[in-house]
Amino acid sequence: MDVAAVEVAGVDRRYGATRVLSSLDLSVASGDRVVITGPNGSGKTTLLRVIAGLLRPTRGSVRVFGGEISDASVRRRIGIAPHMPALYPRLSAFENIRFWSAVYGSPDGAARGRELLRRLDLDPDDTRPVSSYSQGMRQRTAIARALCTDPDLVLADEPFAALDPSGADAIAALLNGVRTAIVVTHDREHFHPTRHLAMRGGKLVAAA
Amino acid sequence: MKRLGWLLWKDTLTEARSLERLGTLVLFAVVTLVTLSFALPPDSTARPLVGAGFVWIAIVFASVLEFRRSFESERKDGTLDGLRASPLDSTLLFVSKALSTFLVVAIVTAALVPLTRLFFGGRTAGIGAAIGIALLGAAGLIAWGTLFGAVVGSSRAADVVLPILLFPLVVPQTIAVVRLLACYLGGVTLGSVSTGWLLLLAFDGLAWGTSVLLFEYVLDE
Repeated sequence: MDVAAVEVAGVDRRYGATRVLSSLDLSVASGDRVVITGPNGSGKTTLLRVIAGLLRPTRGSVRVFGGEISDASVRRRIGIAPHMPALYPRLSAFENIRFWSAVYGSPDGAARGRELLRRLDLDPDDTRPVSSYSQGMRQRTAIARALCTDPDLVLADEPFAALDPSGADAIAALLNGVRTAIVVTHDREHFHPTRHLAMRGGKLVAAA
Repeated sequence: MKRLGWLLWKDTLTEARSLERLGTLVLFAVVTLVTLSFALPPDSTARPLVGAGFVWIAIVFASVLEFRRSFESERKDGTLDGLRASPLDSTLLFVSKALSTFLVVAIVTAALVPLTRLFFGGRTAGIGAAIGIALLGAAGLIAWGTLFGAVVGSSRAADVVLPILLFPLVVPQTIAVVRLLACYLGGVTLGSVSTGWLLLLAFDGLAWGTSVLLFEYVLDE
């Protein structure tokens, strides 16, 4: 039997008295590309952060590839593109890629990252620091960073935000080719999911 | 070890590309020391002794600014979340942050200690040893500071909370460092020197051991 890529069972997440996730269940099989939509503040980002191990659920459990998210071997298989690009502003795009590849222990991550930067219309030999980039360029660099380790699962939070149409197309082409992905976005045009879920009242429901 | 090397590479490169910030920090420490030097009459025989305390105060103040900044920038840019979500061991992250901070504080210390001789008098021969003592004291201070820098990082009152948490904890280091600096820099013996060394090394060990153990829990959310 195939182990689910992500198995979220009965997860609650509260911020003080506010319950953001409520007995939430989600099973994502390997090969699924799931898009999650919902109004602002509905808990989409919180769910991604819980899956990524950045937030502990108040109740319930999360398993990724059958293991605990705290396990380094599980984390190594995940590529994260958070809403904030998570780039070091004083380093160049390629220096960022090189650093994150090394942190993930990916021997060919730097070479793959170089290729990804090119595909996203960025120059890997550009020595300018990322702080001098436009928001769209930073967003593209962040996607290259998330994918350079060739992850089995990609978690992306609003990857098409702040992008012009060509940038969104380039990122969509990459995300549509990943093995398994959970993408939070309002953009229904670019990403082609195998499943579309919507966040309602702290739970996930199949979207129309 | 390879990952630790990459973490240090990243911090060093970032620091090297923002040298104006390091310069400002050194200037802040020097200005603090110069200001404190006016607290004593120019002909006071107590100057070398008090100078030992004042130089430590200036190092502690400058270090607090560095602890705060170290995690603030990682949080602001979202890179701390990136590191937390990565397969990186939290101990490595702690050690790399502490070593990067140590490098900065070492530069501040190397600039300040010789100036203490200039502003407060004392023995020129003791400057080398005094730098070593201050760095040894800074090692313990940095362990606590890195831990609490991570604790208060996202708090609105971080600027105030960090010294409130940190200063009481570094009292043993303060006593030991000032006692040893007074001896090597000022030529004044304040109690037993060997007790000063013992106190310094013991509390450095305690600071590092406790901070490494607690850091994982501090990072958790």
